[in-house]
Formats: sequence, C-alpha cells, structure tokens
Amino acid sequence: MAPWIERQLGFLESARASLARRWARTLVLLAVQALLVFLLGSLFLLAGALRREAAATLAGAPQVILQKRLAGRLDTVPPGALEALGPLRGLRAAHGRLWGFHFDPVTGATLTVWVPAEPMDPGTVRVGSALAALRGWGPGDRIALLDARGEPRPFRVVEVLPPSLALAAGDQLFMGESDFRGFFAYPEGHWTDLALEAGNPKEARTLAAKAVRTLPGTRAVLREDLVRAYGTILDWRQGLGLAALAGAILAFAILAWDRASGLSAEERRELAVLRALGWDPGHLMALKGWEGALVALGAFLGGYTAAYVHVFHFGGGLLEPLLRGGSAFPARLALAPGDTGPTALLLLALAVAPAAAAALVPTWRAAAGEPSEGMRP
Amino acid sequence: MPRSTAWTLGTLGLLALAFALTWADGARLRRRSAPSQAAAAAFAARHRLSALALFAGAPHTRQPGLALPPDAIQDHPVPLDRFPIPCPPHGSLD
Repeated sequence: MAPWIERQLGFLESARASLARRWARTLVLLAVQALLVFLLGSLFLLAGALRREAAATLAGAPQVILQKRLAGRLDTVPPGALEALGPLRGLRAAHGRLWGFHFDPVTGATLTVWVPAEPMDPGTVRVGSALAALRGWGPGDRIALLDARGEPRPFRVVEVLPPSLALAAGDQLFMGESDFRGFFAYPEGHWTDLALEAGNPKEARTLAAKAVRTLPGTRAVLREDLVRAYGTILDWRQGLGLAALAGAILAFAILAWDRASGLSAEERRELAVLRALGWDPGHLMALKGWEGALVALGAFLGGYTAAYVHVFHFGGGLLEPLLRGGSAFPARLALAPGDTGPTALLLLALAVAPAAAAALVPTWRAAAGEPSEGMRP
Repeated sequence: MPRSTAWTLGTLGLLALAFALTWADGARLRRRSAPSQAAAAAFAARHRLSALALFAGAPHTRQPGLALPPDAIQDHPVPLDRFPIPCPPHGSLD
C-alpha cells in the first residue's frame, strides 16, 4: 500500500477513535446536520420537481389566452369576439373556452368545471382521479350537484380520468356545453375566455398584442406567463419554507461558530500530547480534517438520500402542504426529479463548510502554540 | 487495516452507494414519467386546459396565471398567496 494512503488510513482511524470517545456529541452533531440537510434537500427537491411537472403539463396549454375585463374585473367574452379575431394575420386557430369554479359543500373543495373540446352527451360528466377517489365515484355512478339556482342537478359519471392525468385534471369535472350553461346559468353565446394558437409559436407575443388591439378591454396571457406564474408561487412558498427553517440554519451556524471559536480542554490536551509525540501541525490538521469530513459526509449522504426518498417515494408529505397549500384533496402526483446536481452541490457546501471551519480553524490555532501550553490544566 | 477503520469506510461507502443510487433512480423515474408527462401535455392541448391541480386551496390559486392581483385579497385579507410579484406581468400586453 502506498505510504500516503497508509498515512491517511492512520489519520482516519485516529479520527474515528477521537469521534468515538465523544460519541454523544458526535451523534448530536451528525443528527442535527443530517436533519438540516434532509429538510433543505426535501424543500429544494420537491419545489424543483413540482416546477418541472407544472412546466411539462403546461407545454400543452394554449399559446395565448385572451380575457375580457370590465371595470378591472374579469368578465365573460361576448358573442362576436371570435369572429372579430378571424382576419388576424398569424392566427392559426381561435376557440372559446368555457370553465368555472364550483364549491363542493360536501368536501369543502373548489372544483374546476371544464367544457372539453369534444362534445359530451347531455347529463354526463367525466371526473378527475383525485375527485373520484375522494367522493367514491366510479363509471356509471349517478351523482347530483347543486347548480347556480341551488337545485340539485343529476349527472352520470361516464369516465374517471387516469391517475397519470392527476396534475392536468385530477380534481376537475368535465361536462358538455349545454350542461355547463344550464348548470351555471351562463349566458348563451358568451365564453369564459378565448384560446388562440399562432401559426408560428415564436410569434405568439405579437399575435397577443394584435388581438388585444382588435378587442379593446381584453388582456392576453401567454403560455410562458402561465408557467412563470406557477414558478413564482413555488419560489414564494419555497422562500416561506426557507424563512421557517432560518432558525434551524442559524442555530447550526451558531453551533459551528462555537466549535470554530475554540476547542474543549480535552481536545486541547489531546492535540498537545500529539504535538509532544512529534506530530507536526499538518498532521493535526489532517486528523481534524478527517474528523470533520466523517461527520459532514455522513450527514450529507444520509440527509440527502433520506430527502430524495421522502420526496420521490413518499410524495414529500412533510413539506407538501407548505408548497402546495391547504386543499380538501390535493391530487397525489408521481414526481420525477429534474437536474438535482445544483441542489446536491448546495447541500454539500452547506454540510462541509461549517464542518471544515469547526474542525480546521481551532486546530490551526492550537497547533501553532507550544505543546506545554495545551497540557496545562 | 484495523477492523474499525474498515467498518468506518464501509459505512461511508454504503452511504455513498445510496447517494449514487438516487441518481440512477432519478433517471429511472424520469424515463417512467416521460410518457405520462407527454400524455398530460397532450390532454391539456386537446382540451385547451390551463388549470393544474397543483394549488387547489382557493379559486385564485387554481389558475394563478389568469387571476388578477387583488383576487387573493378578495378571499382573505392577509393571504400567503398574495405574491410579491404580480403574475403574469399584466401591463405588458394591455
């Protein structure tokens, strides 16, 4: 075995023995650091995965959505608006959309009711998997929902959408146009908003500006705006999570600072004895470096792996309510990680930097003095 | 090599292996989720959907990109969903 490796193995054994002598303190430090890595890792991994899922699903959203405003509030799009947009250059297709919110008193949830592109038989609905699971609905079931007049309106469930569409439509209710207009007492010929498709997707912004000029009093929302809106909310809620964890991070920083600002009497004696036995400062630094590395690497590897398993195999249940907010029935999502490299690097730096400071700075100070100073009681 | 050193290195090695496995598992999950993501995007495109079941707590969070800035306040005077940045940037295309 090469002498260098042999020497490092010797340092490693000494570091392990030193940590084992102070096993209680080592265990607490390891647990606190691993817990911090776990919490921060869960937060970053979960937010990243949700952002990725949202962007992937919204890749199919309309390129431009045109909304009508009246006195600063959203209003329905009146009849004739689609025809007015027809001659616009660069417009490939324009469709009216019908959707609305329905408060379900049984679950206390707000459902989105949507009219699909394909026609549906009157009196039938298709429901998302999360909604069906919560209400116990299945294909063929007869259900009743309170309409805009407060009257129960019967529907027959013809399809429960698969769980793979949980994010796109997990808690949605699809019904035909005539049912929708009857259910909400929606004015005939009006649309909730308009979905526009540009011939050239790169021209969507130009098309949106033209559409707004053609239909004054409207505002256009691009697909990229939708993605950005979800990203902004996730950033905002992730920031709230970080603020909530700030106390823990601060406590850990204080702990690291306390360690960095001085060694215990026992450690000083130990280093002085080693110095007296002929160890030079470089050896002592290597010894303490190994001690810090064992704790920091153990905490990082354990904490990160636990965070990964928590998010991608248990749905991130501990932090999901923080990032997704309260809901009567949050649709369970099968998440997949995106690029986790930056998160892993950040957590590694967070685990190693304080440990390095805590291990090396006081050792360097102690090693610079005379051995006899450290052995004094 | 002393047995205790081997045990320490073995434990670190196992943790490193678990860490490496998260990357392999991540690649597997990405491969597995690709078809369902494509199906979800196709479903959204077919029905011109824009409401994700992501933040289902309040009407203004159902389709945040289409909500107006005061919508959150309308529901609750001090909502945490009152984002610091208006989204989307409403002024740009008005």
